[in-house]
Amino acid sequence: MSGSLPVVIDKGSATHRVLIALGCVVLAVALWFAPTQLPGFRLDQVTLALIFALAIMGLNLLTGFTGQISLGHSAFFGLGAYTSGVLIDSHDWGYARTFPISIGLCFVVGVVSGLPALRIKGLYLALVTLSIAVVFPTILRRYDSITGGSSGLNVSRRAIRPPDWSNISSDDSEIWNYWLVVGVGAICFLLVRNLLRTRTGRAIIAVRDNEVAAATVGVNAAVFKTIVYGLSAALAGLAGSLYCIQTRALSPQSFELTLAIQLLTGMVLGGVATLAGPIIGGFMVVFVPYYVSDAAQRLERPQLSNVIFGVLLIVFMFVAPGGLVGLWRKLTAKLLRIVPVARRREPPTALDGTAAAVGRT
Amino acid sequence: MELFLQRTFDGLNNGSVYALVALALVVVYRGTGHLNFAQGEMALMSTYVAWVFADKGFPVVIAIAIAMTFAFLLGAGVERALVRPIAKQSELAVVIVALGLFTALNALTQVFWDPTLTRAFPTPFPNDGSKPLDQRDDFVTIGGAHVFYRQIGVILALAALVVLLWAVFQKTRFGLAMRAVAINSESARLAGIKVSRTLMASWGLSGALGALAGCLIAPSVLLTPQMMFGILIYASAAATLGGFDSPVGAVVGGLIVGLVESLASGYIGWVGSDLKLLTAVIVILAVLLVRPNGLFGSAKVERV
Repeated sequence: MSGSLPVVIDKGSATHRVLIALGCVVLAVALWFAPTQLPGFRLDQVTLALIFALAIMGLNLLTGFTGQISLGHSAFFGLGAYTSGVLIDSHDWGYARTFPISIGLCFVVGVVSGLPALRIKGLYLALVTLSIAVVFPTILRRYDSITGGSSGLNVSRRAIRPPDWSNISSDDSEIWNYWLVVGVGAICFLLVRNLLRTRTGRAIIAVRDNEVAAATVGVNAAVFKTIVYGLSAALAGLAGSLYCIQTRALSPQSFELTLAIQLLTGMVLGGVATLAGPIIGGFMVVFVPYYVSDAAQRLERPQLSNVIFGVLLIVFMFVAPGGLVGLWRKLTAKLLRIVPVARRREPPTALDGTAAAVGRT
Repeated sequence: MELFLQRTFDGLNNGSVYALVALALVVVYRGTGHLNFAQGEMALMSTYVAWVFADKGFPVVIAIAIAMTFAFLLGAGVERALVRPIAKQSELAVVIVALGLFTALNALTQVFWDPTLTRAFPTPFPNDGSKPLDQRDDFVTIGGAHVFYRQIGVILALAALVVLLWAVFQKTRFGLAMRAVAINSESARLAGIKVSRTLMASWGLSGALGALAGCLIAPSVLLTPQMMFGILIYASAAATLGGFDSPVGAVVGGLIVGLVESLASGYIGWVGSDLKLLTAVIVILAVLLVRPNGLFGSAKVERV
C-alpha cells in the first residue's frame, strides 16, 4: 500500500459497520429533531421534498434501473393525488383508506400504459409518455364534475387530522404529515432497495444493460418491464396521495408536463440508478426553485428558476451524469475505499485460471 | 355540409402548421436519429423574436425572415454545442438535454417577454380581423363555408415550402449531402461529405421551419408561452403517422392529424374542444402499436 489515501477498509469489517451505524445514527437524529427544531413552513418543505423523493424513486426504478424512459410520471402522480382527493372530499373516506386504492389504480394504469412500451422503445416511448403528460391535465379539466375542473379540488383540513393514538393535536398536523411521509417513504425505500437485490432486481438491470443478452439467459423482459412499469406508477401514485394530504389543494396546473420534467430533473441531479439519488433529487426539486425564486423575485423575473433548472439539467448531463451521488462517490473514493474482503487477499491462482478458461469457452 | 366543409378547411389550416413542425422534426430525425423535444420551444422563442420586429413596425414578412434566420442559428448552435457532444453518451442523454433545453427556452422566453401580457401577432395575409363578420372582406365562400385568406395563405405557404424543400433535397448538392448522411453517415463521410457541417445545417433548417410554423399559427391563437406545447404533440403525431424519416409522410400526416382533430372535436360529442389533444395521443399510440414505421417510413432493421 503506497500513501495513506485512500484509506482502505474491508467490507463488513468492524470499522465498516461502525461507519454504517454512525451514518444511521446521524440520519435518525436529523429525522427525529426535524419536526421540533424546524419552523412549520420549513418542515412543510421538507415533507414536500420527501414526497417528491418518493415519486422520483418510482421514476428511477423505471428509468434508472430498467432503462425505460418516462416523461409521464406527472400523470401517475396526479392520478394518485386526485384519487385520494376525490375519495376524501366527495365520498368522505378516511385518507389512510385511499392509499391502497390509489396504489392499486396507478399500478393497473401503469401496467396498461406499460404494455405499449413492450413494442415501443427509446424515443418513441419518450414521445408516448410525453403526450400522456400533456393530455392528463386536459382530462382533469374535461371531467370537472368529478375533479372540480380548472378551479381545482380542496380537501378540508378537518378530513385530514392526526389519529388520536399519535398524541399530536390537530393544530400540529404538519408534524403528523411529516411522520406519515417519513414512515411511508422509509417502507418504500426499503422495499425498493430489497427488490433490487433480488433476482427480479438483477433481471431488470440486465434488461436495461442489454435486453438481448438478458433474454438469452432466460429473463422474460416483457414480464419484468410491465411489472416495473406498474410498480413505478404505483410509487408515483402513492406519492401523489401524500401530496394531496400535504397540500390539501389540487388543481390541473400542478400536474402538467413541467412536473414530469421536474421529476426527471430531480432524478438526474440526484443520481440516476442510485438509491440515495432520488432523496437528494426531491430536496433539490423543492429547494432550488425556492432559493432561486427568492433572488428572482428581487429581479422581478419569477420564471428564472425554470431557466436555472433547465440549465442545471444540461450542465449535469455534461459534467456529472452520475448526479450529486456520483460526485460524492468520486470524492469519497479519493479518501476512503471499501473493498470486499476476498479481493484484497492474494488471488488464488488456480481458481483464477479455471475462471479464465471458463470465460474463454 | 356547410359545417363539414368549414371543419375540413379549419382542419387543413391547422394541419398545415402541424405538417411544418413535423417536417422540422423529420429533418432532424433523418440527420441525427434524434427526436428534438425542444423543437416547439425553439419555435416559440423565434416567434417572439418575429413579434418584436413586427411590433417595431417592420413588415411582417421581414420579421418572419429575421425570426427564421435567428432560428437557423439557434438550431445549428444547439446541434454543435449540446447535441453532438452528448450523443456519444446515450439516447436517453440526448432526450434529457432536449428537455433541459425545453424548460430553459420556455422559461427564458417568459423572462424576456412578460407572459401576463397578451400579444396579437400580425398575419402576413390580408385580414380584417377586427371588423364584424358581415363587413369583412378577407374570405371566400366555398359551399357556404367561410375560408379566410389567412387560412388559404397558410396552406399555400406549406405547399410552396414543400416544393422548395423538394427542390433543395433533390436538386442541390446540399440536399444530396443531407440525403447521403441520412442513409449512411459513414459512407457519406468516406465520399467526402462534411457530415458534421451537414448535420448542423439540418438542425438549422429544422429550426427555421419551426419558426415559420410558429409565426403562421400565432395570428390565430394568441402569442403565449404555452402556444407550442400542444402543437409539438400534434406534430409528433403527424411525424409518427407519416413515418419519422419521411418528409412526404410528415406533410400527409400533418394534414390528416389536422383533419382528424377538427372532425373528431366537431362530430364526437365527448371529445369536444377540451379533449382535442387526446386525438393526437390516440393517433400516436395506434400508429406505434399497429404500424410502427408509419405510412411512408422505412422499416428499421436491427442487427443483434
